[in-house]
Amino acid sequence: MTFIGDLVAVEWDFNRFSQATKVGVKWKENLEVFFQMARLGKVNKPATIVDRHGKLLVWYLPNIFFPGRTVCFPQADSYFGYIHGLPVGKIQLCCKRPEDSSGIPQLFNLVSKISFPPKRRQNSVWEQ
Amino acid sequence: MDPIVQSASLKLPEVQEWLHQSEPMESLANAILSIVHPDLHQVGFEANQAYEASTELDKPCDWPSVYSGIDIIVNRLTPPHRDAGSAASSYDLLISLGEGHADLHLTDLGAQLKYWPGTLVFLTGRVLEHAVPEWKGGERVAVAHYMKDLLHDRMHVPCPALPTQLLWWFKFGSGR
Repeated sequence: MTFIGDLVAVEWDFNRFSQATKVGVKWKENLEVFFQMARLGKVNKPATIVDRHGKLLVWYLPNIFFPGRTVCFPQADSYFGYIHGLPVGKIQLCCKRPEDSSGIPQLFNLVSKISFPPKRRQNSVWEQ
Repeated sequence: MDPIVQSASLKLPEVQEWLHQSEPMESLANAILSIVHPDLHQVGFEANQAYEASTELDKPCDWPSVYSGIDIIVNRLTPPHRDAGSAASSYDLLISLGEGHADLHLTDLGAQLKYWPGTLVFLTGRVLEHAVPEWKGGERVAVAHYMKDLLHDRMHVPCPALPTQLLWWFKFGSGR
């Protein structure tokens, strides 16, 4: 049996690595001193990443939603203008008219309503 | 001990409507999680049920996910970070939507995952540092899902171990 996509392994043990990355652990900035850090490079095919014991750390599943079901944005200003500096668009489910499923205008609205004040796009950084 | 309270944003009708409209996407994500990490799917479901049963919600809503928290990130860069609220062996779920091109960097692995719209990434976000340092070519939306470990703890739901390659083969392999 083949595994889902590419199977990529790192050289360290997940439990030990997770101890090292706990909040407040001072040596987490020097992880490469204690662990053989991986350089996996670019990944663009379905892949799973495991530790040295086969624990599945990451499942990478690209293009699960086909384009017609992902969110599509038209030229924002031609439809809805700007809300608080955020370009707004429309959701397009199953490639139908945006009025059929107007999730994205709402999405932008509610994001601007419930989150921190929007910043200029080029400076936009999301922080937890 | 402080009572557990619902996020204030859930009281907004727009948020409830968005959750309602997101249900097909969330159902698919739930179904995929039930395959990639069945135990996590189960505990997420149990924790949410226990929470609903134990708490009088200000504004009951149809929460569509087995995850206990959802963040919507719109046109934002994401600096390198780890997700502090999750358990180490829990998967966070990132869904990339919108358009344009971005890479999801897993800095601890030296990996850059193509973050095309429609991409799902389950990752141990408490442990693996991740970032989206830039994006090009359009609007970007990421829907990030978390299981809050403290909530699961308060609901007396155990934290499952990470699935292994071997376990997965036993469970879903053809036996050959």
